[in-house]
Amino acid sequence: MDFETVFSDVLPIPLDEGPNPISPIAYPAEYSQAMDYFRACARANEKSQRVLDLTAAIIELNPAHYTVWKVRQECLIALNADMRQELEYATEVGLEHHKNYQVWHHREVVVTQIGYDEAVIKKELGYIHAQFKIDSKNYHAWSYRQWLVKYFNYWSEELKEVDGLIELDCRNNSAWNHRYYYFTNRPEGFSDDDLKSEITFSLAHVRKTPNNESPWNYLRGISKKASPASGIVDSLVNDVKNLIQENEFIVHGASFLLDIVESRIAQEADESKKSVDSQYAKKLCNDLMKYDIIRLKFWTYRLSLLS
Amino acid sequence: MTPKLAVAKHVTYVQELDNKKDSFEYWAGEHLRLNGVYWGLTSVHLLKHPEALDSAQIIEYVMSCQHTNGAFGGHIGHDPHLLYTLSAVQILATLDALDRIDADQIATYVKSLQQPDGSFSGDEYNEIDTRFSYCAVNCLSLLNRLRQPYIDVDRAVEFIHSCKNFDGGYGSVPGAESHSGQIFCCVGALAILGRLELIETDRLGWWLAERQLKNGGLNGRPEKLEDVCYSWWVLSCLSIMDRIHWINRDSLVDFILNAQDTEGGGIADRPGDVSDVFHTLFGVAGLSLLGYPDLEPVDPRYCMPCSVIKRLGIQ
Ligand SMILES: [Zn+2]
Repeated sequence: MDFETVFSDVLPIPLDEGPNPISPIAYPAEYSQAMDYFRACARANEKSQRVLDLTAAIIELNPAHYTVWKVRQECLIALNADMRQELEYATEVGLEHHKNYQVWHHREVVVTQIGYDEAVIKKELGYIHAQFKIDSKNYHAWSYRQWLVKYFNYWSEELKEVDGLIELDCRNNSAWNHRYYYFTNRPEGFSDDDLKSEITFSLAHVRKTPNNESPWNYLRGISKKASPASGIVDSLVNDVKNLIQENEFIVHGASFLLDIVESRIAQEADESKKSVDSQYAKKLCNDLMKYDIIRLKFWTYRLSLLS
Repeated sequence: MTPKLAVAKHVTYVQELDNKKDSFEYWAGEHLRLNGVYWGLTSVHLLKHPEALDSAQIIEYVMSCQHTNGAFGGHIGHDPHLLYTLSAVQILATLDALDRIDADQIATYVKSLQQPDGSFSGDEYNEIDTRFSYCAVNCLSLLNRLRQPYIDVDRAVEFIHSCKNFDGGYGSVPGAESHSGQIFCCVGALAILGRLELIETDRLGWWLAERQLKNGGLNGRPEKLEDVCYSWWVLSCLSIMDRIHWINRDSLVDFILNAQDTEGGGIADRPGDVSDVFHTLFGVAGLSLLGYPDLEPVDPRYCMPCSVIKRLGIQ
């Protein structure tokens, strides 16, 4: 962009670093010139195609400049610009700077302007999917996905996406978190039947990678959704007990059982059942103290809570 | 052999940051300038060399980033943002120069960022994140304005609480994955507000303790790499919850010390990487919390010297 020609009627405003700057910054000449025109246009509150082009030129040099993105959005709205085309632009920038928050937020602003359009939503989900191929734990990408599906109440692709990602890497905690998000945020809710099949799903993964904390945490989370009369938690406890006996000691499994047995003790009225559970919980603590030495003090503390 | 903490090298490293202005990292990070001053200043204070930086010059620089609405931008001429407003207030508090600003005006600005659900946005751009809840709470606490008519404290607490996850941790917004940085923001804010009873201490404590890897370093989320800054975020939460002994102290001290550049100064994200001022602060602050000798004690809620928090009369 030839700034001097395009902005020949604009007086550029250089950065005023004060009379005695502790840190004058040596910017590259192009960036510094672009910013001088940007300041002038922002002060004049100009919303035009040339300012839109100027923001693109600055973003190319420094995509983290939050004010520039804000001005870009104001220009787009003022010019009644093609927002679908703007998403293409955001994709171009986003594929190069996939951890840049501003680009992700920009998509949210643009998509909100478009409103409900299934083709756009599907395309956005496809874009996020492509980002997961670069980094399947990208926090911005997940936040945007959660916002998108909830905002438009569009849940039909979520389970398939999460299944695929967990299949690819069962240690992907972000995917497990999204699985929980899906079941607890979609309008259908989470029935006991859903819970049973999710327990089966998680236990299958726990068998494959017993030391993977994500499915264990997920199991903890969903087991709290069980209705007390369903007996689901009791049968889960038995499954996990068996699993621990079949395998070498599993720290996460024992820790999971300890949590569940402890809360069962708190709710149990029958003294003899209580004492059986309490003996078992103490044994779990002692085992954990032996096998998870790095957190010895934590398990010692947990044991002290039981007596 | 693990080296000792290279105090003099780190002090010089921070002093000389200003001479690297022609590097790409420096100008590309321009929008973080005020944060950088906070990181550098707090580092030298915790290293017990407060004289290393020129206070008067820093105060003038900070004031030149202030806007007419009381808020601060990341550098001179940059738009106001809560992140930089917090850094400015932290710097001025550390330098005992809060009399240079109008606390009521800044508190009114912070209030203007609170949303009906109790959350905060970072600027009028409307990005919502528990990081901004933390910035708001920390900032108003330092200014002694943590009350009506400024912000609705109960609502702020409600929003943070709604970000609690099934694993006991916290994310950036409701439902977002637990992340050590976000957990620090939520636990720190709740601690400042005196609402720690809302935290599932044992559950969260276990999740945080699980972040320690075999090499002693801590990561931010399951299956991610260990990092000096995450070590601080996890550690400060455990400290706030009085559970710091749940992780292995000595191996974490070694991990941080091994991430130092013992020749050029500064601390990196992990051993072998290039140091920067951000990780220098969080490395030094972590060592301070772990009781490493000859460091100024750090307040885990504010990431500022305890002596400053005490001088402000904060409990
Ligand atoms: Zn880091």
